[in-house]
Amino acid sequence: MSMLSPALELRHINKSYDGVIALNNASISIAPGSIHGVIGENGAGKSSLMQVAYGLLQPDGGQIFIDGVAVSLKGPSQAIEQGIGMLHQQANWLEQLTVFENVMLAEPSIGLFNRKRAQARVKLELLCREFGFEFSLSTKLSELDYSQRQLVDVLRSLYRGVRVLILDEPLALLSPTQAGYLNKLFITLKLQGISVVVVSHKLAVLHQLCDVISVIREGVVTACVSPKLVPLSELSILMIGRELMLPPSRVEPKIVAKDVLLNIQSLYVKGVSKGRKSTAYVDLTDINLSVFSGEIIALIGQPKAGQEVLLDVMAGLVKFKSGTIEFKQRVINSNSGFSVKQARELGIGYAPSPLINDGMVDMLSMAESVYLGYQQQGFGRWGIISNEAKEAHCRVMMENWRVLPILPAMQSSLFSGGNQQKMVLARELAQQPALLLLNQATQGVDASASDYLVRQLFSLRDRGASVIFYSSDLDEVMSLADRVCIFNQGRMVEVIMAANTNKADLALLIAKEPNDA
Amino acid sequence: MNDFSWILLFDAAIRLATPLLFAALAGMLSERAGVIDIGLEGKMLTGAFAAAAWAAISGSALQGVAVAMGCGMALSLLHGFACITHRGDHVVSGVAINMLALALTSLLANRLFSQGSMTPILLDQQRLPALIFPPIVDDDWWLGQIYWQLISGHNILVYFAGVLVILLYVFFKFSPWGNQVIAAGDNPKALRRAGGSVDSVRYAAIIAGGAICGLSGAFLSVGHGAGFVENMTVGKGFIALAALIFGKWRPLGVLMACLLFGLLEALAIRLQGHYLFSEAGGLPIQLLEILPYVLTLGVLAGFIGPSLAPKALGARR
Amino acid sequence: MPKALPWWFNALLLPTANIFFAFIACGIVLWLVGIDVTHAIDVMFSGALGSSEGVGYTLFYATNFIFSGLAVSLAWQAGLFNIGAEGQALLGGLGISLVCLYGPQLPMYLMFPLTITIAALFGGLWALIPGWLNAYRGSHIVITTIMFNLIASSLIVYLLVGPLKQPGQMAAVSSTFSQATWLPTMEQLLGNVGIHLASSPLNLSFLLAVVCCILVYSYLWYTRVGFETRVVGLDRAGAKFGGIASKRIIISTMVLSGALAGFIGLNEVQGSSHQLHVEFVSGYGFAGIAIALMGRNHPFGIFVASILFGALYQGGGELAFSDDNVGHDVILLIQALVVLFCGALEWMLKPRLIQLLGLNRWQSPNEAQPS
Repeated sequence: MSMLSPALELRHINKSYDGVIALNNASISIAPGSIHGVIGENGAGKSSLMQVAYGLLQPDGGQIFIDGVAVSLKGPSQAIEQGIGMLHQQANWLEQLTVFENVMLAEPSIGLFNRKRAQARVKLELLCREFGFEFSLSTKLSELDYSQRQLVDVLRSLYRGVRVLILDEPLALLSPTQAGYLNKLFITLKLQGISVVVVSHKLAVLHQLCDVISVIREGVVTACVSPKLVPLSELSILMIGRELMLPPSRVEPKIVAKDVLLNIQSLYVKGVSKGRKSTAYVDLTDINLSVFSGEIIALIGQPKAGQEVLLDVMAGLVKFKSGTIEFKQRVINSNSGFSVKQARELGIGYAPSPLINDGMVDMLSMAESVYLGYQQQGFGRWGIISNEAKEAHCRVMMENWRVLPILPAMQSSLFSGGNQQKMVLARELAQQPALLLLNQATQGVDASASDYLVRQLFSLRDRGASVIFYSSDLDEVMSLADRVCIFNQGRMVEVIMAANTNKADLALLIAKEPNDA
Repeated sequence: MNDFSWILLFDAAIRLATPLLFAALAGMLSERAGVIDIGLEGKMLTGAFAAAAWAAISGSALQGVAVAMGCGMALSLLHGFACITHRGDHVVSGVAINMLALALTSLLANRLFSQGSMTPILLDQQRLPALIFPPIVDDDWWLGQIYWQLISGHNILVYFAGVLVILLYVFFKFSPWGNQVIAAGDNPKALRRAGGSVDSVRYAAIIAGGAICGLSGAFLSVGHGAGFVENMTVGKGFIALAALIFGKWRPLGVLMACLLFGLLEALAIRLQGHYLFSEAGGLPIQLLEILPYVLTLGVLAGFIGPSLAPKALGARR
Repeated sequence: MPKALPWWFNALLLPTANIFFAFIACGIVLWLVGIDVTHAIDVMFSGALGSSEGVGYTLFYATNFIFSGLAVSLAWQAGLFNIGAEGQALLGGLGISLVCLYGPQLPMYLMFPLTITIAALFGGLWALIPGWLNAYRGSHIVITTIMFNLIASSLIVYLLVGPLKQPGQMAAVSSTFSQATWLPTMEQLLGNVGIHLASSPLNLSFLLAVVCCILVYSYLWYTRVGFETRVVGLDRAGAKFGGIASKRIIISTMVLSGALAGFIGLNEVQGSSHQLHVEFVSGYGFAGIAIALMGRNHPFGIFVASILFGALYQGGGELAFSDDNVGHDVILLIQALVVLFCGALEWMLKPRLIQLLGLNRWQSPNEAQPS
């Protein structure tokens, strides 16, 4: 009610599903006419909080205020009425419909032949001209590229009189020019009194652009800082640093690596970028990497920069278009094909990202899940095995890794995410692979298990095997890796010896845009 | 082949295509909105029974049609309750509706009329009338032949089916509600994010579809036919589903597909006594019968153009 | 930490509640239509279980249900809804008829394995193409199997009014098989051992059905391929991760499923009617869907559900006998309601039951995620 009321405020929002807490007393306040950045790791709760603000998610507790007045948002239509708009990263558009039809989707009071339709057209064209959008209202969405589609969403929000526009990861799939255009658009909106909330991983961009940045960790908004007062490097530490845990101590390798275990040359992987898939990824171009046996390599970069795709390719899950992979003297090129089964037979183990959790099948018991990928062994020569043997095997793993409750017969989805991940790691390590691939392996895993994992990795390395892992935790990277490869937009832009760098430098390298000096 | 009249053939084709067309259009509405509709057969059968039974009791075919539409809507409501509200499996629900329809219609027919699961044969005034066009053309020359045999004189519901195709074409191409239905089936997330209600749109679509499917059955029993016989639809609902797929879920495509299937059926009936298909001749009549099914398989296998199913069809969310 | 619902909730309590509702709904419909429900139940019960002849018939029908229930549920475990059991069973019966009419005249201990193999071959073949279309072309298995049902129907009709027709007969039936090919009935078998049973069509294939239950159970939960099948049905991405050849699993599972459906021919054609006629499957394939849903896709549940449905069929037959206006419609109605309540509405009662039993804090793994 006062002139200084925040345009949008969320207070003490709680949300949990399936017993997992997504938002824990999160509060955020968006001032009118400001550009507000929201940062946090994967799974920290950024998207959940924004979905609550837009009415897509109903919180278990907490309140929403718009211009100081408490509102109840049962769904996006109420949020839109209240002036909140949201742009999602993917899957927002109806390809065969025109811009006009997409913008007017679900807009009440537009009939078939009444005047409102013509009036709406006029208003939209005015808006297009005002903001410099270059597409015509009758173009089909399928003919527009990604950045233009985003602008269609912006147009819709503008038409509906948006006052707080939330954008969920708008910059991830844009080229630098397109991103620059979007940034200018934000400033234009801000000047019109519209608040812009940007959720993103691009710390450097947010640092330059935003008036305020909120940091979310584990479901709580832990900090709300002004970029003018806080340097970029501290931002990343605010986001990912684990102040309670000391970084695991590094163990130097006992033998100096000599033989090349894995050699990747000129690898090219065609990306998937159509708006539909949530696992969209960029093209990987010109990847070259040599890995010695007994080496630990870290792949780092912003999310979706390509490091996860490379892991998938090496595991046999994703096909590559050209280039060669040489593993243990076996040459694999794009014609010979490389299946998951072959990868396993060669001795490549893979622990996929726990956030997607493909390594576990929800409805199988834990004892059975432990065989996923290694069915041959689990089931003996005649393809038959007794349940007791399965459970005994599982029980041993659970004891080693301290997975509770020790109930191998319980359905795997009922174990906590961290425990499921522990079992995935246990499964792969038990195979004593020659090359172990890890994708964000310690996400959600507690400190003591992380420690156990690190020790296991070191002993694996000492036996001559190699490890390639992707982690967004730079402490972990520094203590584990011998070499660090930095990915950006599908290219491996740098490879550094861990001894020659430190955490802060790495953070800056990750945040660097390809066009920066 | 001199007694073979193409015009009569096409005339029969239109008649045989009509129930398929209604059912396929009903399925189209439902599936464009994202709800799989295996239950077309059941709704058709129920519509047929309801129309015939009501016409037999009350004497009015028109009321019977209304009741048929109501029954179709009721079954659709049940389907929606299972699939939309309770996130049940669309296909299982459709199968349940088919079984339910078969059981209920037989049971009720038996109880009400005690003639062994059929209604009494309906008299002309208990059926729907044909529509005879004004005599603007002489029937001596070929245009007149076409006019009198092919265009005029069909049952009133046949013309209504044609009108429905046009209505639905306009609906999907130009109207904002049509866009919402398309969104519900192709990209429900986008619809939800834009502020629409996916569930409401789906309910509306399937209930409308249910009414249209009831019409299909009504045509069979009080339009074209003269009463209800147990299981009188005999798979027509599934052929309509095939026509829907063959017609790529678009009104005009569905029209063409239904006409094609109608033509095949008319041909089959026409050629039954004919040399080519008689016992001594050689080719079995069943070959013609199964042609629609084989065609459908071809479409599904992707040999006859890509399948353009709505992308969120059958998703439980 | 999320606590699990007790295992018996989903496996026993919920399906029993669903079936209970199905029966109540059926009773209501019958009462509305004017049928004396208590009388009907009385007749059905005594008809099915009241005499040893009745029990024989019950188990005879149950045999068909076991085969089709196993067929549907095996495919279901791989994530496939096989509606084609009707057609696959028809083909199985066709194969058996061809062997019995034109094949070698062998002693029963060789004949039975032969017909089993042929029935499996024919039934499996009929399921092969839909399976292939689904795996390699993404074609919807429901529609392809329905198409194949309709084609099978036409095929059998053609054969039975043409090449296979019994000469001198008006009806579309094949010649009767020679007695040597007839499957021995349980009455005969047990008679040899001195046990006296009432006369019924219950025959040797019932034992095969029981064996199949055990085999399917062992296959799914004790073999590597069975494990892979279940993973394919539960989580395609997980299957890919596990290096499982999903396409091959889909096709082979469909073939096995078709084979099981084909065995219905053993019970009906070789064991009972001893000739091929058009309607011998008449709904057993579709009933398999109800059986699979009732039995929660588990072979032992299917066995129990089959006995129940067999009793319903037999009881329904007795009811039709005694009361002109009622008959197989009641059976169809119950089947439909079972499919509705145990299938489409399977989760409907869950929240209320959880509340009723005070299990409020407990979490279950089947809750749908928000968008």
